[in-house]
Amino acid sequence: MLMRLAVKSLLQRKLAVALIVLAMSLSLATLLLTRSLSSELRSSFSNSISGTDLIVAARSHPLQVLLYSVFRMGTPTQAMSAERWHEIEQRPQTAWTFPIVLGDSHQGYAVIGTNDDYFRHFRYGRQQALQLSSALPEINLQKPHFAAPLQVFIGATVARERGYAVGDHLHLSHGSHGHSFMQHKEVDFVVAGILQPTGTPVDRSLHVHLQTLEALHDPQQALRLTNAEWQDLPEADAISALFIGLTSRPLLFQLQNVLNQPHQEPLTAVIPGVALSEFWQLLGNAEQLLQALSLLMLITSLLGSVAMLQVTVAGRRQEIALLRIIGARPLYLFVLLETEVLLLTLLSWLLALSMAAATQWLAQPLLAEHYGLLIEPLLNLQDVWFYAALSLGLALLAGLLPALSAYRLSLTTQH
Amino acid sequence: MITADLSADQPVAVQPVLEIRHLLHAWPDAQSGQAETLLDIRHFQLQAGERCFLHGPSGSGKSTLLNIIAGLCQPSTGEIWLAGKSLWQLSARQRDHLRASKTGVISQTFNLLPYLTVSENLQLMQNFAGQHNDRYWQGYLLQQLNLSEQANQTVARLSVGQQQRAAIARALVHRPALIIADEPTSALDNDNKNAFMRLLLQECSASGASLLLVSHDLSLQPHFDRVLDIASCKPGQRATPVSEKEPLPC
Repeated sequence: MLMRLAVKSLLQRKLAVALIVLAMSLSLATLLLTRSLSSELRSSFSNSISGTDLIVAARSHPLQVLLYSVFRMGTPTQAMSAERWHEIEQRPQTAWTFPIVLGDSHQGYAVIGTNDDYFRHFRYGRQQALQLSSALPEINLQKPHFAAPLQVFIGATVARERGYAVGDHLHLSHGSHGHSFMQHKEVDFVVAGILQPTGTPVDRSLHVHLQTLEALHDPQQALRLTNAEWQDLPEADAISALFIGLTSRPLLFQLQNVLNQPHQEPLTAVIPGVALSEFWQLLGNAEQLLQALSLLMLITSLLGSVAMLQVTVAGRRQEIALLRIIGARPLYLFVLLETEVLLLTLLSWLLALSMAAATQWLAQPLLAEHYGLLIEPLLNLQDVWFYAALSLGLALLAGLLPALSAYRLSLTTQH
Repeated sequence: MITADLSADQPVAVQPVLEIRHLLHAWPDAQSGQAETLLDIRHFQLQAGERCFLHGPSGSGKSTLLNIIAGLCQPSTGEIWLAGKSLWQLSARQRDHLRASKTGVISQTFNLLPYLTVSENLQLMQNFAGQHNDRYWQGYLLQQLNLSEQANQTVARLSVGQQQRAAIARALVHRPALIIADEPTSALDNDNKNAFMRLLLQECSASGASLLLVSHDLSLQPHFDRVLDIASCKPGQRATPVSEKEPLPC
């Protein structure tokens, strides 16, 4: 009977109830989405590289090395010499290396100069290797390699956004801006392959051979580049960063120490996992801020529902008097009001869950397309329970005010 | 404040449904802020099955008296005995229960919960009276009041006449000893008024409940065993009930 009374009493005020439920569910949905987005962001973030033990570059801050080498944001101010690359490559602890050269761009996307080892050793997510979704016939989809100097392998996002297909021709620009004055117009690259989506910065990159890139920057070489063979190309004499895999993990800190030693050409050796978590701590503050904001939103909308109930309590003076006169105890009225708050919250919660799920489902392709974020359209169950309990608890607490008002009104109101 | 055990004074055979002793009630005047005595009833009894008409103009303290009788308002001094129990010697919880189980209330606005159906209003009443949900009895009562078809309609959708009858059913459904009716006919035209009174009295006699009806409408008085002018309960007047069928001063 109490439940029926509460339900029917709420149905009496459909408009107010609908508005409150809408406000509350919007903030709950925001809270849920913020949570799941940031945890997905975090995993997508830490998925951007795996399997690489060290990244080495000319001396600078480890975060800066991480930013340009892994996230392809910005360019290094100093280059690292090829001699040091080869010296490191020769070390007994070194299992493999691949270099990257940054600095060029294509319509705003980063151009990476590298070699076949990149495709052989680069790993992301759970040790996943790069694979092609389509390529020229002479290239193996599982094991991409540069078959000719003027080939370019493009990321999934670049291909989709610019509409490139295998066999298309494109030019590179010098510098990292989309509208660089210097264009390498004279040299036509052919799209040799399109990489499968990875949800990492690779999707927004173009990969050309390091030696081709070296030649491109020498005006005399560049003119002869068309139809050039591998043997015509110069060896690179400087690289931006070197990715290193070790033969055995325990050697990691030892090698990092050695590489960080003072030297006539000082280097910075970064352990990607460590640098990533440092970086995430930096971003974590923003995440906490977002969380706090959505919690604040939840509290605001709860206050809104309390305000509504509080106003209706005053308007329900007659109803409360009636319930009293037919024998309802003040406690009954207290429980009735709390039940109403609880019902409102439950309703909002269900709506919020479906809104959050629908938003994730709808936003997934958009996020993947625009931000390269691969997000599972699933809410974290632990979060769902936590916030369900939190919001119900807060609602009951907030409901105390109207419930107490009803209680007190029922003590003083006379027929 | 209430010390004497007055049950020894009660007639052994017939216990009155309602008894008021030495009631004095005062509250601060709205303008002066001075306490002003509003009600002064030395002794009043209502026997089982008796029908009493309490008459007085609006503002004369009728509703206050009803609140005092229902135990919703504590008088400044005096005792109220309802169904053999002194209201203010009970705990708040017991008082609420006594009110729910022993009295049925009909008011000017009929006081039904507008968003519940007729049936649910009856169930709620039985619920508060601590009785089980007696569908058979509810159905019988609604049939008597010609409301069988409206049982599952929301009260807000009923006509005024149907709401009156539903109010009677609600007041009687838990078989109370006392029906308290506060201006129940003020919203009704003459025809409806007479039909309502006939029905109310008929149901009261059928269930054996006493009736205490408060109204400013003197045309209702022929229906009653006893007529009491609330003006006589004011200080300065003889504060005893007017005797049976005694004509009113006006």
